[in-house]
Amino acid sequence: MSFERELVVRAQAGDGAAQEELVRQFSPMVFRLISRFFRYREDVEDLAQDVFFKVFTRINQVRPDENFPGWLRRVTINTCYDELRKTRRRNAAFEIYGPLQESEPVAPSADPERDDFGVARVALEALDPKLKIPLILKEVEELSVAEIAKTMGITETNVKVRLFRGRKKLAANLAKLGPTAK
Amino acid sequence: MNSRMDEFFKQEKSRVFEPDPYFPQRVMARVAARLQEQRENGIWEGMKAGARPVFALALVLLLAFLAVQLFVPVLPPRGPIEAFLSTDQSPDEQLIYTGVDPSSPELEQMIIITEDGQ
Repeated sequence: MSFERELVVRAQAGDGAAQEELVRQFSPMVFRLISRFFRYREDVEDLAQDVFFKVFTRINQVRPDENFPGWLRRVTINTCYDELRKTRRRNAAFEIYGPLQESEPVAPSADPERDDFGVARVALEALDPKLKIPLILKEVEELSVAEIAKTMGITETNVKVRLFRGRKKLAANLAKLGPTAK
Repeated sequence: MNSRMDEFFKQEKSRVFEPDPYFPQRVMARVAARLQEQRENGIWEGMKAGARPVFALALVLLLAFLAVQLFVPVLPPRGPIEAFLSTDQSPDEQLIYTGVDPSSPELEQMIIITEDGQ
């Protein structure tokens, strides 16, 4: 039995030391994945804690033949997806019910988001999480279509469709945001 | 995908946060605190947010059903069991069939007069 497998078995039996060791070993991976979707350290750490809470409450679902890092990646991506959806709903509600925007738009040069890769970032942030997650997993994490499908629990065809739509939408967002994007 | 986006994705690869050395201890403390909280708050807090309205609706329906059973009279009002347990014998029939004396001498007299009249 591998050391990792042994840790999982011990953690399933409620061994606190094994659980802490799992956090120590896998937190860099969890942090790296969450960093792809969230830009502030506090958000990343909060979500990483949520991920490990879910891991320890559901650790009995890990089958003996299951690849633990793959399972953990799935839990992490699902947690990010839920949070991105919540953030998107909050932002949409704020746009409808929040304070009125100033009628004069801010000059592009005064907006820090428009500097350097700011436009690309804004265009990517505007994507639906369903399209954004596969795109980031493919372009930044360099996962294969099969790995993305397994991580997200969808078919490979669905991943390809989402990647195609994501790229198309991203190009449209970039075009909308202005000539600096090109 | 244009080259600017490719550069952007390349830059994104380098943007990674690392956990600090005390992160595992903080996680374990938070996990323990949340499990304790769940135990204290019982079933409602432990339940997924999406499942709560379903659970609440099921509870309301169950209580409504029980209330109907308790407060609304069920027809027929006099079923076979009630008919068996409760008697509808008149006092004179009671006297004849059970042999128990009527509660008052006036009633006894009245029964005798009725029998004599017949």
